[in-house]
Amino acid sequence: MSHNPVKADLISGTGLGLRFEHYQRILADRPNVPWFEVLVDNYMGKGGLPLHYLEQICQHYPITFHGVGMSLGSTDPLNLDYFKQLKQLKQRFEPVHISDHIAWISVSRQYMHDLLPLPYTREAMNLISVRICQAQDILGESILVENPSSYLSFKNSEMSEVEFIQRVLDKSGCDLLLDVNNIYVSAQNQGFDAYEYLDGIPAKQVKEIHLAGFEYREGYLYDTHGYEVRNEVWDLYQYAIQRFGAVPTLIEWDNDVPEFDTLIVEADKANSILNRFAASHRKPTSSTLTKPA
Amino acid sequence: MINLRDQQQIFLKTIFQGTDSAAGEQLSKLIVETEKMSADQHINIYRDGVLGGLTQALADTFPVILALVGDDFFNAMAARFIQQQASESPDLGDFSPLFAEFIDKFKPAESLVYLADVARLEWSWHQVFHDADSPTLDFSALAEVGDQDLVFQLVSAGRLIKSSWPVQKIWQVNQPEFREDIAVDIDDGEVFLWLWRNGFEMRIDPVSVSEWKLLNALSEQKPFSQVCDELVAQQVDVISLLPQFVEKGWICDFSVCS
Repeated sequence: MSHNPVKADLISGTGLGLRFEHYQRILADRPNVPWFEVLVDNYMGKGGLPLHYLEQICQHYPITFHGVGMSLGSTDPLNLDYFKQLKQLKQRFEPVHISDHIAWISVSRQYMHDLLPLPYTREAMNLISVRICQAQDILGESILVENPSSYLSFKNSEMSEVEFIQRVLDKSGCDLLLDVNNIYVSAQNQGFDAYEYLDGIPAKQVKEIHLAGFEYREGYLYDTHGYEVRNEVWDLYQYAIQRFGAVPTLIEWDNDVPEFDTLIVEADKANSILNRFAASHRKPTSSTLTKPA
Repeated sequence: MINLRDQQQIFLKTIFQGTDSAAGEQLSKLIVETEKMSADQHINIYRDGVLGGLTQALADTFPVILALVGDDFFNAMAARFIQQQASESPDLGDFSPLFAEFIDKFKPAESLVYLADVARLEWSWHQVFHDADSPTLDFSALAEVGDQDLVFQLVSAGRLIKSSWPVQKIWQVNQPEFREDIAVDIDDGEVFLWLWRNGFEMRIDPVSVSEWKLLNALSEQKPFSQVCDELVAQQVDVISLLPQFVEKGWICDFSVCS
C-alpha cells in the first residue's frame, strides 16, 4: 500500500521537545522556535489541561508526534486500541510526521514502558518491517523510526545495527529519525565506530535528527536526556549534517527539565551548525558571481 | 536457535524475576560479555530502567503516599506492587488503578489505616485531571422543558469519594505548597467528597450526606422522577439541592426520558 510521504519539508531548523513545564512560557512569549515535538503517549487522556494546551500551541507552531507505544519490535499483535487513539490525535492535531523506535516495549500484552533491544536477526528484521507497514497502513502515512541507544548486544545477532536499519528502511518504506546521541552512546557501549555507522546510513531517508545529553555511569554511557548535548555528540552531529544536509533537528530534554532558555541555547548551537552548512552549500546567484578576470 | 518470541518472553521474565532466576540464566547466555561488564550487568541496565520507570510513574501519580511513607518505604512497596501487577496498557498513565487495593493488603502498611483511601483519592485526582471535558449546561433548553421526565448528567470529570478517614485534610497538609503547622485528627469521622474539575480547575469539595446521595443517584443516570422517589423517602431535599448543583456547575447536560 502506498502512503502519504513524510512531509518533513514543512519543518526546518532546530525544534524543541514540548514539555509541560514550558506550556505557559511558550503561549505567553511565543518564542521563535520553528516547531515542537510532542511526546504523543502523554496525550492519550480524554480531555483536561494537557490537550487544552496542546490545542493552543498547535495554533502557533507546527508539531511532530514522537512515541514509544507502537512497540514496533514486539512479537505481540499490534495494539489496535493504541493506534485508534493515535489516529484520532493525528486527525485532531495534524502533526507533520509521526515517529517511534526500532525497539519493543511489550510482550504477552505486558508493557514495560522502556525501549528494549532487538537481536539483529533476519527474523526480527522481517517482523519489525511488517509491523511498520501495518502501522503505516493504519495511520495512512509513512512513519519515521528512530535508532535506539543500546546497552547490550545479543550473540544471535546476524548483522550490524546499521545493516539492520538499512534493511528495515528498504523493506518497510519508512524513513529514519536519526538520533546522533544514541549512536554515540551505543558506539561507546558496544565498541563500534560512530562515524562508520553514519557512513552506512542511507542519506535520503534521514528526515529528522535528535540530539540529547547522555550521562556517564560506571562502565557505560546512559541516554538520560537530562543534560546538555556533549561535545563529542556535537562533533558527530557536524559530521552528520555534512553527510545528510541541513536535516530538521530536535533538542530532547526529558529529565530534570531546565528553564526554557537553556533549551534555546542548545537549539542555537544546532542552528549555527545547520546555518554554516547551508551557507557553504548555497548555490551562487548572479549577484554573487564574479566575472573571471 | 532461539526464536524472537521466546527471547522476548525470557527478557520480560528476567526484568521482573531478576538475573539470578531461571529466565535470567537463560538470557545471560544470549548476551555478549564485554571487557568492562558481565552479561548480567548489561541486562541490569535495562532492568533498572524498566523498574525505575514504573516506580517513578507511581511516585508521580501518588505524591502524597510518597510524602506520607518516605522514599525507602515507598520504593519497597512499589517494587512489590510492580512484581505483582503487570502494566497492560501502552499509556503509562493507566498503570496504577489497583495500587490502592494493593496498599489495603500490604501488611507493612497496615498501621497506616488511612493510606489506601488516600491512594484512592490520588487515583481519582489523576483520572479526573485527564477525563473528558464537559459542555456547559444549556439553561435555555432546560427552561423549555415542560413536565417531561429528565436524566441529568454530572460533569464527566468527577468522582465521589467516601472514607472513614479525613483523607482530604491528609491530602491537603501534604501538598508541597502547604505551610501551616496543623495536626490532623484521624478520628475526625467519615468524610464525603466530590472530586471534580471545574473547567481546568481541580477541586475537592466536601459534601453533606444528602448531597452525596443525590450525586450518587445522578451518577447512575436514573430518571429524575425515580431519583426523587428514592431520595425523598430518605429525607433528601432534592428540590432544593438540584438548583444548587446546577449553579455550582456539577450538572452539565440533560436528556429527556423517552
